[in-house]
Amino acid sequence: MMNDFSTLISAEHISKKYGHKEILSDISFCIARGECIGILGKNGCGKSTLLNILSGTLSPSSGKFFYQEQNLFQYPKLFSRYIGYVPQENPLMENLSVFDNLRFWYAGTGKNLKEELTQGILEKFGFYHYLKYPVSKLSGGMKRRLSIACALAKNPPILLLDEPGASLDFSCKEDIKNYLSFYLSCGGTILLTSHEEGEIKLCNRTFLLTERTLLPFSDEKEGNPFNKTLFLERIKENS
Amino acid sequence: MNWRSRKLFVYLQLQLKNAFLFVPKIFLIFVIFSGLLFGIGIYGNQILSENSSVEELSIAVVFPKKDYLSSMTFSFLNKMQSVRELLTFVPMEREEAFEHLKKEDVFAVIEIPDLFIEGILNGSNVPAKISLSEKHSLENILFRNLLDAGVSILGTAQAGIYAVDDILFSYQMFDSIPEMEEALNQIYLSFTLNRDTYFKSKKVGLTDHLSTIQFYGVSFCLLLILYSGMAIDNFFKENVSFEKSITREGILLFFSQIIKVISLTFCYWILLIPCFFISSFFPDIRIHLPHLSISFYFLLFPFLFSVISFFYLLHEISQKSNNYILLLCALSTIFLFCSGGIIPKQFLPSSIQKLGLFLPSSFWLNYLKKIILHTTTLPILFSCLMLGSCFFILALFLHSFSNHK
Repeated sequence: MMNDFSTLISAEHISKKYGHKEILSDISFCIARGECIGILGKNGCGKSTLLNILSGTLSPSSGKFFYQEQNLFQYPKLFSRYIGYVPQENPLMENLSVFDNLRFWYAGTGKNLKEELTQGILEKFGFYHYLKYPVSKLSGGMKRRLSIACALAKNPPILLLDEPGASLDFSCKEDIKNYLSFYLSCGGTILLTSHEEGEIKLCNRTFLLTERTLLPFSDEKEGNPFNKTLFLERIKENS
Repeated sequence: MNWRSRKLFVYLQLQLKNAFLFVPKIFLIFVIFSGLLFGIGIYGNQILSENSSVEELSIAVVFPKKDYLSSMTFSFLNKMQSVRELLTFVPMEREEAFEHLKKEDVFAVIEIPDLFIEGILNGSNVPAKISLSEKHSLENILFRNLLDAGVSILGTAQAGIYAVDDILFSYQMFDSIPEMEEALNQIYLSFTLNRDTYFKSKKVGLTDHLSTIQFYGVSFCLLLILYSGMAIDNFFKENVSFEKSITREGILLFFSQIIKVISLTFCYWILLIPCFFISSFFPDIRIHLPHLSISFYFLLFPFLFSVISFFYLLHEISQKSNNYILLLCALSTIFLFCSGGIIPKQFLPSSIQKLGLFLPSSFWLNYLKKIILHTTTLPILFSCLMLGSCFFILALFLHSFSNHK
């Protein structure tokens, strides 16, 4: 697969095997700058595995993953520079404060971080009054926000999110949706897995991960990234 | 400073902060268990102070056939007040004597050679063969020390008599020799029976050159530090997702975990400094820590490192917080008991004594004793670091294995 000029990231023939068991097979796709891509699929179909591979936390059995012209599997150190990742489980240090967690993930100094929290992208998250709070005392929604903020603390061009709104209440889901919209409006690129209709509506395109491979899913005729009936039909067809 | 080094430095700072957040819990555990362990210490001290546990020593004596002189001498010794209080010489056949020694019914077998008493009288001194029991009981230690005292004083007495003999010979004062020998024998005999003189310089005890307070102080501190591990049950509890995320940042599992262990070690080390600093102002405590100096504090660091690594290993074995606390409490108590930290090992069955040799608590007790006596050597220091490293590597292996699973 050749990378055209607008393509920001592209995956080529990514496969993952655990022993003889194949989890992912020949996954290929391209994402342009500023796009929001959703990956749909049943529970346990390999969405998190795919995101773990694309974020650099898991090695693939084969395949290539390009950021512009650089194959990130060959330069794993570049993953943290270009890709912010929010896994399903919040990657936070529970005993430490909100500020400490942000400080760890932030690329600049502590002073710059405070500026970022009042003026930059992190300002949107409204953590300024909670900076000294231990993470363990935060609600599930706040922890999720903090995880996203930590992933964005380095201002990466791409954000991967694994079910960002799972098990959160309606208002938290709305907040998270708003942060993601803001990130997209700032020129960011998002790849997310989700079962939430609201989150999927943010996406320009969707893919369905089924039978270990990724298939384009968007209802292009209607321009709807998530057609529930179509989704259920496709799942039925493949099961 | 490059990106990765900066990340590591920030991570170290945060883990230090994380470790110090546990100080109130550690302090609380210190306070709660201090009371409990203080009670154990006092009870143990009472056990050591009581003499009722010391039995009379039975010594088997194997005489050569028809050596009536030797048998008469030992029967005379059995009647002596000072001997009777401690020992009973039981005449036996050789096979029977060794069978009793094997069963630990007797503490030693003395094999008397032919012409033993004649040898003493004419100065040829044919030595008797003494076989001791392998058992490390209090009685055995006493007997060994008594024997050492006897041999040492007898040797000194003989050397003194022979030296004066030689001088009198060289000055041709032949007539004075019998008179002088008689006088010296009298003096030495009175001196030999006075065991106080020997034990003034030589200490016989169950606490390996430590005073009872020092001995229980060491056990107390070790058990307190081990129990304080309960306070840090959440410290090693790691969010797998966070671990994977920091690996992406270039902080490998080895570095992230060693930073955690060192941070907690440093926290404990810092906590102990004010404790010793305050205690150094109390003469009653200061007297039991005669070698308290800056090196004392530095020597504690490897010890703390090995203990914290041990906590980490237990955490990885138990996986869950409750299991960790149960395992830590049980192992700390059992280990210290088997190592002779609660009741001196001489009172324990020999199988437990042997088991105790392989437990880390024995090493830690020994290490702390050496710090107090100021006899720590570089190999011991190195061994302590090695022990900690072994625990750490094993824990790391279990950690990565469970993550992989």
